[in-house]
Amino acid sequence: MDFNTRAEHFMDAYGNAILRLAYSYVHNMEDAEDVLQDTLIRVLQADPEFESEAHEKAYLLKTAANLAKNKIEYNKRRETDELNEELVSQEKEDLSFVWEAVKKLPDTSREVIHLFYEEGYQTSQIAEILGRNESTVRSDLKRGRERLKEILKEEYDFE
Amino acid sequence: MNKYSEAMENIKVTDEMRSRILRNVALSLESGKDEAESETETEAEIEKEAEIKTEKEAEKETVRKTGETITANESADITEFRSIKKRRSGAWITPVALTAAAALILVIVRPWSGSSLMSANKGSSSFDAAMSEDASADYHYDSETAVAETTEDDSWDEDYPVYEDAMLEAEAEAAEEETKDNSEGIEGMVFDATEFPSVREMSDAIGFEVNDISEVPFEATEVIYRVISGKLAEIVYIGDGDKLTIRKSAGEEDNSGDYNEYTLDEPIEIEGNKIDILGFEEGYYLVTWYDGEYFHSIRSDSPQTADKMKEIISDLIKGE
Repeated sequence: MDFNTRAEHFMDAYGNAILRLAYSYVHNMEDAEDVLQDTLIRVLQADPEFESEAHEKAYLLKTAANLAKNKIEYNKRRETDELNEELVSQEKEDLSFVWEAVKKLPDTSREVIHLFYEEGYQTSQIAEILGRNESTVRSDLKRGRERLKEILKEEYDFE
Repeated sequence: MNKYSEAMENIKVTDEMRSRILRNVALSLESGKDEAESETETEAEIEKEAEIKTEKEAEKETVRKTGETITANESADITEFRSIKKRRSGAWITPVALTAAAALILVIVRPWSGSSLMSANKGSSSFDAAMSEDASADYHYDSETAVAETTEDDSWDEDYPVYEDAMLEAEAEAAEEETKDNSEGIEGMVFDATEFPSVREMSDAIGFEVNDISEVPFEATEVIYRVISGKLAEIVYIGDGDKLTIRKSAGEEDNSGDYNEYTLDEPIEIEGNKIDILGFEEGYYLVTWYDGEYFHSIRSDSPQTADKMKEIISDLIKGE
């Protein structure tokens, strides 16, 4: 498969997943798109061999997570959040509350929450993607859930 | 958490985004480097950037008239500006300056009517497209409402030190709540930094010796000495579009903040230190090592040869 065909395959199969993971870190579309683009470039340049589609996806998400964290580390996270604005404009306040609550979580809990609930990964798989210890992932998931409940209840009176 | 997934459904790759990114990827792979920025800028965006610059000039003048902000445009005051920036401890942010900063925030954050746009500067953004009459197909939020996007870039922050300081303080306060439950060490720390005018004063403040390097691989126009969260010493050499960051912290936790999965890893030994030099095909970006007491990292924004990295490491270690 040539690079262009491979790039199209990655984009079509995993583009949304990569974009959403990136957005969960950077909170704006411009940086999320940059991360998606850079992820494709990096993976195509590295040209690894994958054992399965699951392995392929996990590798791409791992690369995207690392690139997104770099963006936050070296560029202050931007203040604009188009997703929240959009949800409010659609009068989907309940979704806006949930998104804003997730944003308040520490990065380590937020990335676990995203991969668990949005991508449906198990904690062992999340540990592999993020390069972390599984027990740490489990505690971050637990802490994330508890914190979310607190935030949603206290700040948004949300059950 | 179905609601989280439902919210995420608003984030998706549009046809326009797909085409643009694939084009940029193809170009990047062909040329061997990322040319996305230069290849996809349109005339409309160039005009918009010129418009933004004009607006910034007008806003600078407004802030200047408050009498509280020194702009980088005042060449005679650049030295004073830098020394004030380095003296920064929060004490010089006067109430009037904060009011000016607040006024600036109100001016810069445009209303959602889309009357003006500070666009992304990389390629034809889907949000630039959203500003046009026929944007709906490209605007992936399934909404016909045009959205204005404000962006912050570093040069803007340099021109508005009061805003930057006010924002940093606000960020630090907001982030304090987040960090209470996060005890994962340096990785989890928020950007809470104190600057110092010299490496000597920074070393005294943090409680261990930190060294400068005598030679930087580009012409450094600015050097920043800062301590982050009281535990991490950082020296940042800034040049024209380039940056070299040196970090030192107690313990063996990686303090580089660089999460790249590098494809090249050259382990070397210098004066008894086992050091990793990491990079990609085009060059090396990161150096890390633990000396038994402190973790050191050197990160270059531009790719360096292995020999250049070794020179920088030797320069740093000699000063230890």
